[in-house]
Order: sequence, then structure tokens, then C-alpha cells
Amino acid sequence: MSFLKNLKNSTATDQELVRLYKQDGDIRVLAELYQRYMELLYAVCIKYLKEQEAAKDAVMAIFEELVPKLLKHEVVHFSGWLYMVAKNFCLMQLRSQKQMHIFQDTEIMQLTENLHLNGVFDKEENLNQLSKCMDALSPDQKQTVQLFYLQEKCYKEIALITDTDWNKVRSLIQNARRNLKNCMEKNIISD
Amino acid sequence: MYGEKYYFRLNSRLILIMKEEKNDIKFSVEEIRKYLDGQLTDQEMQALEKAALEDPFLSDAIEGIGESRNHAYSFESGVADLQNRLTQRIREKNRKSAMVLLFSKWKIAASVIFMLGFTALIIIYISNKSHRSEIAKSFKNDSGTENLVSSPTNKRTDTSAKSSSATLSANSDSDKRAIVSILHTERVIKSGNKKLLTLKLSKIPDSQIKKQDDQSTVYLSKPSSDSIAEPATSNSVVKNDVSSPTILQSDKKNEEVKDNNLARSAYKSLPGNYIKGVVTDEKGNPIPNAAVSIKGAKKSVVTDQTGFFKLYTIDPEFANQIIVNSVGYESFSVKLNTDSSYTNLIQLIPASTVLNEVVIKKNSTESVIGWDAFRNYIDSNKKILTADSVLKGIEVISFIVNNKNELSAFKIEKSVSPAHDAEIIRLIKTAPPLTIIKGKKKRLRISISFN
Repeated sequence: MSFLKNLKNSTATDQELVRLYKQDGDIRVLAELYQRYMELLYAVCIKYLKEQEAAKDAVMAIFEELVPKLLKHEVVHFSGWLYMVAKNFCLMQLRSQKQMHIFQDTEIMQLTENLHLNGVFDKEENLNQLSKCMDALSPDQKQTVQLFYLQEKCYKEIALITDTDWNKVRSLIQNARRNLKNCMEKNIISD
Repeated sequence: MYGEKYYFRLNSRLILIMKEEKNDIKFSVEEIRKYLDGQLTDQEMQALEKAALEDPFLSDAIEGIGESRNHAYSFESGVADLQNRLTQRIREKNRKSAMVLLFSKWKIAASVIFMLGFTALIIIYISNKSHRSEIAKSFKNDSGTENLVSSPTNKRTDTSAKSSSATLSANSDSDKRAIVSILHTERVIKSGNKKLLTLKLSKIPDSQIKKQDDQSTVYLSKPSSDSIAEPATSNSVVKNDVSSPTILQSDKKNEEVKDNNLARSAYKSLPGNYIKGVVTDEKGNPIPNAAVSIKGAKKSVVTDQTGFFKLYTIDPEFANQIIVNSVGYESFSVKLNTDSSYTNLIQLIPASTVLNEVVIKKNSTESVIGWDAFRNYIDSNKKILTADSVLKGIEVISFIVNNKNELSAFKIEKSVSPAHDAEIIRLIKTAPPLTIIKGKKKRLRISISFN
């Protein structure tokens, strides 16, 4: 893109570009940064809005939202923050559509759970806890987690080994992660 | 069952994976595409899957690209289009800022000219005023000595009036920059004078009108090239017939008219007269797409995604009464702060809460059976209707209940079908009577869902 040639920021990190934008308010810097994630954002918008044209409009509208927002907010992880802004935008759009025609899929409104363990593994005493929690998992879940995280098999391989559906493998791993997280947190609180 | 070594390995991997460290996305769309096409090796696939479990951004993007494969246009063409749009957007911005720079020079020039014109206008106005009072004074002296106006004095006042108009026109000629604004206000003065003039003339007795006719012929015999001279001279004609205190008063009135017009025109040209605010629900969540309008005016705006609205008005005084409407909420009428720098907060109440004010009586003598009973009544009876129709949705109806338990002014606010509307109205009319606790009448809103 022509306007990007003037800027020698293509090697700059997100953080540097954010700082530069906050400093000068130059929209071209923001565009450079935005462009890095535009394809992914477009994909995310397609996922939520289901329509390509609506997704395109959303991507442009999110850019307009960023112009003032990024100047105001203190952003540490740009990609994570950007994702949240984009997702909220899409959900708000869906919600406003929902007000027009009352009935629509409500599942989509649910926010994905935060599956991060927030550093609970950093503590040595939690090591034993993990083995207990692993044993508490269902045999299916335990097997897939082992295959995925220890033997580093991809979903397709696991599906072949265990003779299960690809989607089943993915949901087994996601559920196992959630269970592990809940198990660990419960025990940390009870300690 | 498992050795300690095993758990250490598992643990260290989980630590790496589950630590809340959000790195920049390492996977490109190209890799996602390959992944979906099955072009990656098993290890590469596992790495991407692992990363997707950690990063919802990535996992959503993978889903989105997968989804786009069911669409008519390719993902790539969409991206290309977006890149064009973004480039366009940046160019626009650059052009705009250039335009602003260009315009700002013109703005300064324009405001200088405007200021010059305005000062000229004030000077002219003041000189005109002093001239008029001079005329009045000179006439006062005249009327002091002579009771009936003789022709020489007429000529004198006439000429003095002429001279005042002459200075006026000379002044306006000398300052062409102020042409537009000056001409405008002069026209205002002129029309103002004419009105007063006709009023005065109607009160003049017949005998005096004859004299005045003579006067105007004298005047007409030497017509002025300047139209402004006309009201000025005719004013002096009137002065001949009425007493001087009234003249001064009429002058004052003219001034007032002029002042008002000036004030109004200046007011209208003021930029940024708007009311702004945020519309939320009772929990403070923004309500987008709520209609905000001025009572009695056609103009309305819709709130954005954050519930924010900005309503431009010519005169904030007219905009005292603001009406906010949103589906599922009570229509809300409110007097807002019209200061542009103030953000008004408007909280809407969900439509159903109004129902709390209402109780249901089986009839006027029996005890209150409560809202639940009414609901049950509607729910059990509406089943007849759903057998007739396969349409689903929510029907919202409102009507007025007065203190005689009479129902009137039925209004369908959300319709499923005309058949549903008719049935609901029939149901409510035949339902156990509704009464209100206080007040003379209340509008009730009921929503009934058909599933």
C-alpha cells in the first residue's frame, strides 16, 4: 500500500506503533498497525456476523472506533485488546439486530470463558494437585490431553488413533482444559 | 500410576501453554488456509491447534475463514476490497486535513471582513439614531414655537431627514464589504418603519391627512435616488402630525425590532447548538438504535452502539421536551440540559414494569386476584388462537384504563398478524376487569408471546 511505503515501521513491534500513534495521532500509523490484523479481524467478523459484506463494514467501523479509542486507552497487548474491541463490536451489532427481530440465537451472546490458569502452575505445591485433577478427568478426556500435550499429536492424528470424530477430539480437549482449570481453582481456594 | 517425571513434563508444558502471556499472533492467514486445506504437516497442525486453544482471536479467525468457504465470494477478494477501503480512508483523511489548512486561511479573511462589516453597521446605526433624535429635537423646537405646522418648517424637517438618509447611503457605499449584512438590517428597519407608519396613519384625523397629502406631494416632487430615504422622510411626515414623545417612542420600538432581529440572526448562525446524551437501560447498559426526537418536531436521531446521541437544533429552547423511544422500553419524555457540553444520561425502564401499578379484580366487589391470575387467563385462552395460526412472535399491545375500569385507545405496538391483534383485543376486553390504584387513567402495555 502506497501510504505505508513512507513509513519505515514494517519491522516495528505492535507496542512501538501503539506508542507512536499515541504520540502523534497519525492515522497512517494506526492503519499500518491495523493492517497487520485486518485479515484475521475480517475472519473474526465473518464468524460472528456470518455475512461477508456486513463483516467488511464491521472491519471498517472497528477501525473508526480505534481512532479515538486507542488514544484514550492504555493498551499493553494490542492484539488481545483489538480482538476484544472487535468481538464486542460484533456482539453489539448482533444485539441491536436482535432488538429488531426479537428471536435469534442466544448462544452466540455468551462470552467465551477465560481458560487461563493465571499462573497457578508457578507454585510447586500445585504439582501434586495437577496429578489429582488429571486422574479426576474422564478416561476419554485424559487420553486426548495426553496425546495432544505430551505426544504432540494434532487433532487429525488423535481422531485416527482413538477412532473418534475430529470435532469430538476438539471438544474433548476444550472440556478437559476447562475441567482442569476448575479443579485446580477449587483446590486452591479450599487450601 | 504415573512417575513424577511424567508430571513434571506435563506440568512444564501446561505452564508454558496456560500462562497468561499473550504474544502477538504468530500464525498468518496463509497458514490457516493451508491448515484448512490439509496442507500442513501433523506437527504444524498440532502447533496451530495448540495456539488456537490459547488465543481466542486465532480460534475465531480459523472458524471465520472456514465459514467464508461457504460464501459466494472468496476470502481473499474480501481482504483486497478491505485494503482498498482502508487506503481510501487514509487518503480521505489526508485530503481533509489539507482542506482544513486551506480553509483556515479563508476563514481568517472572512471573519476579518465580517468584523469590519459589523463595526460599520454599528457605526451607521448609531449615526442614524443620533440624526433621528436631532430631527426629533429640531421638530420639538418647532412645535414649541408654532402649533400648526407651516410649510417652511416642513421643508426644514424634510431636508434634515434627507441629509440623514444621505449620510446613511454614503456610509453604506463607502463600505461595500458589509453590503449583505447592512442591506439586510436596513430592510428590516424599513419594513419595521412601514408597519408603524401605517398604524399611525390610520389614527390621523381626516383634516390632518389633507395636510399630510400636501406634504407628500412636496416630497414626491423631488424624489430621492435612494430607497432608504423613503421611510426616513415619511417618518418625518408622521412626526408632523403626532406629538414628539410618541415619535421617540416609535423610534425606540424600531430599535427593539432591529435588536431582536440582529440577536436572532446572530443566534442562528452560532455553530454547535446541539443536545447530547447517552441512553441506557436501568442497569446502565447502553441502548443502541433508540429514537430520540423533539416533541412536536419531525426531527429525530438514533443512538449509536454506545447509546450516544447528538441532536442538532436551531433553537434549544424548542427542544426542552425530548422523547426517547426504544423497542421493549417505556417511551420516555424528558426535559434535557440543552448545553452542548453537557452529556445527559437517560435511563429507560423496561416496558413491563409499568404493569406493577395495576391490579386485577374479578369484579368490582370481589377481592383483588392479582396480575398472575390475569396472565394465566390470557395464557390459557390464547391457545385457541395459536391453533389457528402457525405464526410465532411477541405481540405488544397498549391501552388506556380509566378509573371506571373502562378500556379504551387500544394500540398495537408490535404485531404478529392482524388475526392475532383482533384476538388479543377481544381477550383483553373480555378479561376480568382491570382497575388502577391511583390516578384517573393510565396507559397499560402488555406483551404476549406466541411460541
